[in-house]
Amino acid sequence: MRIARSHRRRTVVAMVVVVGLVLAFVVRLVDIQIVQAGELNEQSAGKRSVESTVYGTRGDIVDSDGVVLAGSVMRYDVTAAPVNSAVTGSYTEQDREDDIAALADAIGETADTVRSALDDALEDDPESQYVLLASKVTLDVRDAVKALDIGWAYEPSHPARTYPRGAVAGSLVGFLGTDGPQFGLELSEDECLAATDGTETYEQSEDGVQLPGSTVVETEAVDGGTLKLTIDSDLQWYAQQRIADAAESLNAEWATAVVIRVEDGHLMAVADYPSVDPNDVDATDPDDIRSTSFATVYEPGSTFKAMTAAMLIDQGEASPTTQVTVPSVFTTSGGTIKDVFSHGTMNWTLTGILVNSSNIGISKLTDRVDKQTRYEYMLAFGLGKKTEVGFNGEASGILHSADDWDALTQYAVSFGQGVSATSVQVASIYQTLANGGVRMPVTLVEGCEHADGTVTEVPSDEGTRVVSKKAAKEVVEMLENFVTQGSMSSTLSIDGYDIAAKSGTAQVAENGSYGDDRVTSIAGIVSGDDPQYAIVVTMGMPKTNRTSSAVAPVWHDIAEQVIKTFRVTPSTEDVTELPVTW
Amino acid sequence: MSLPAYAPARPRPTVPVRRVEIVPGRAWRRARPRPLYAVIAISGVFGLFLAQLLLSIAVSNGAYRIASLQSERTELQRQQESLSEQVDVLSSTQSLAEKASALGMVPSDGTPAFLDVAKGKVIGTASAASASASDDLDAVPNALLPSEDDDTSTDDTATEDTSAEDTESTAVPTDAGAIDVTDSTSTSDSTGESDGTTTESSVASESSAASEGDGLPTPTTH
Repeated sequence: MRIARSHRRRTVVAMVVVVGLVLAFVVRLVDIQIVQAGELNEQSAGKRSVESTVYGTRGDIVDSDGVVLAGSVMRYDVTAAPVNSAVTGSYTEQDREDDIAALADAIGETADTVRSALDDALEDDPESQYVLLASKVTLDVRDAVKALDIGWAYEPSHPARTYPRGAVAGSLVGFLGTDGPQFGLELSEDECLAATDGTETYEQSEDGVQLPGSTVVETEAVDGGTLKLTIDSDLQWYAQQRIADAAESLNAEWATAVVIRVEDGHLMAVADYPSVDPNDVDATDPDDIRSTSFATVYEPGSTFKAMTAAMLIDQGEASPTTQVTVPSVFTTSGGTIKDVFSHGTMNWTLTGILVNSSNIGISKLTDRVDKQTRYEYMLAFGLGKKTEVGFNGEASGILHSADDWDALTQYAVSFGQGVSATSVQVASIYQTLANGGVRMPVTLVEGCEHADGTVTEVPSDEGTRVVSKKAAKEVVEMLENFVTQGSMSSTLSIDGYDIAAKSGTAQVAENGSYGDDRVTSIAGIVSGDDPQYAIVVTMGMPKTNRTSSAVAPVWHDIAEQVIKTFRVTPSTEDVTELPVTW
Repeated sequence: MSLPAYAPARPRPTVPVRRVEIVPGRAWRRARPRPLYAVIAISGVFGLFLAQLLLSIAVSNGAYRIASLQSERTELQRQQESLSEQVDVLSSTQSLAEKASALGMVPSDGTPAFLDVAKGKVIGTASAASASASDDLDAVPNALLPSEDDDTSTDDTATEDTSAEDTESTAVPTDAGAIDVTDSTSTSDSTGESDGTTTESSVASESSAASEGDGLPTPTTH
């Protein structure tokens, strides 16, 4: 029928159109999905899915008040993709030159350097995607480069380290190098401080915007922990300043000042000269990159007499008023022992022996306790082994076993020769004496607070008893008399405070015999009543003045600073005057 | 003979074919689908497409906004870090000691006196500070502090070797608005702050020595 036929024709036409469209789509689909699939996939893969590093931040090193001694900052590298800097139709030679000039200006280079960097990279590899133009630039340089909007220049982040207080505690904090931490706490505490980087993958559109909902954090970054030190950075600065001044005027090779808190053995300041500024390591001689207080070993000299006196009293072999006839020389089968000033036969008490720093006097008394017992006391006082700090490069000092003590050495150790120690070990001895005979573990690190809040490396608060409370107290009293009755009374005394101190002028062995050099020191305790801080100041090989009286003003100033810093109130009781002679 | 039994066929008149229309009954009418439903269905489908398109646009917009806010935040964070760094360096002991010295302050000597508020008494004796011999407080260096010569730039930090290209980036970026400590002018006018009274008043003449150092404003109070 005519109607039916036209009807059918319309249907057929419609069907043909539909089928045609479908075929067209199918062909296109086949083309995209199968024919061009490989090429398109490749093109898109690089542009779409981006894996970026999420940097973890290295932990800070802070002092006991939270002052940052070492911190992490962000710096930026300026890199270029040389292949993208090629001259094309729309990017002319002139454009390229302009960009190179502007970029060079922003990073502080010459245009030639930049151009040759790009050209050299392209020569080696025409598809070169990376060349480093500037390393670790600051934010404003990076902003300047970014503002230039150069298509082939990039400014990736580069975490770096900064030391805001410079050389303050520089030889403790240490520094990082190309391959990681090189020295100091940065090295030994790296486990606490190091961060773990994470990765993050997301898909980005052509213009670099992240496709919504496409971030997948594959691994979380873990920031490093904060390392808290026991150091007070202001006191540390003062101590470093003061010993540096003194060392320079005395022309000493090295100098140290150690301030240790009596009740818990925490180190308040560990000042070294020479010191290193971690911001500028190259300015320091590599030999000077150490913590002298921990690493330099020397025979301490007369400051050890206080320890010997404590042993004697603890063994019940002497008391502050024990009477000794001190001759002008002490002869042993190994050699003679003399005092620093010549004298006739003197009637000195033990107190007098300490006040006058008599080697002969202390040697005579030393005989009352056998070698082995004295050796064990010295071990208990921490000699011959590293302190609990375990600092990077710490020395253990030399304490020969009692059997190896020859006829001279067995007396010499009583006045600090024939045995060697570090400044920190000497400070620990005085901490023990001030703390009623209980030695606390020497502590530099208060703890490591990790990113998740847990605190590790908390120091032990267990002490060991070395001498009796009475022995320690009596020794401190004798040392107070050193200050009130001794020759350095005017330089050491601090008005209103009971100060206990002992001087040391030690000979330095060179090639088997003692030479002209000396290591001079003052070791003392601030606030006799309630001893709070032990301070040891040492000058290594001073040239202009080889006596310990040159160290006394330095000790005095640092002690005053300790009083100011920690608000030590004046003593309420007067010093018990002990007889020096009999 | 009689008439035949049948009549001869007569041509019938052509009866017009009547158009027969089927009149839909009410029931029938009700059964037929209304155009309205079609319109609703199709417009609904279009509406859904439209809604999806709009949502898609909104989400993409959101993605752009997020990207832009994130980059803004990163920029601000970076600025804040950079400024914090500057603050850290300026608050370093060396910097404070330098500035205090420049203002004519001296380190206090002697022991402090204590005020025991509970007991209402003074413990110890206070003494006035005096200018001591060693006012030179630079034995503990800090490479981050800008040196007096503005042209010498120090390398930032000791981490990792710097690249072969020499970077002349200054360690402490100076912000034009902040106190410009690197600008040490030798006139008694302080830099950065335009304090016109500095050279006039007698107070300023005492502290004019201080303003010759780093460009801190000279205080005009007594």
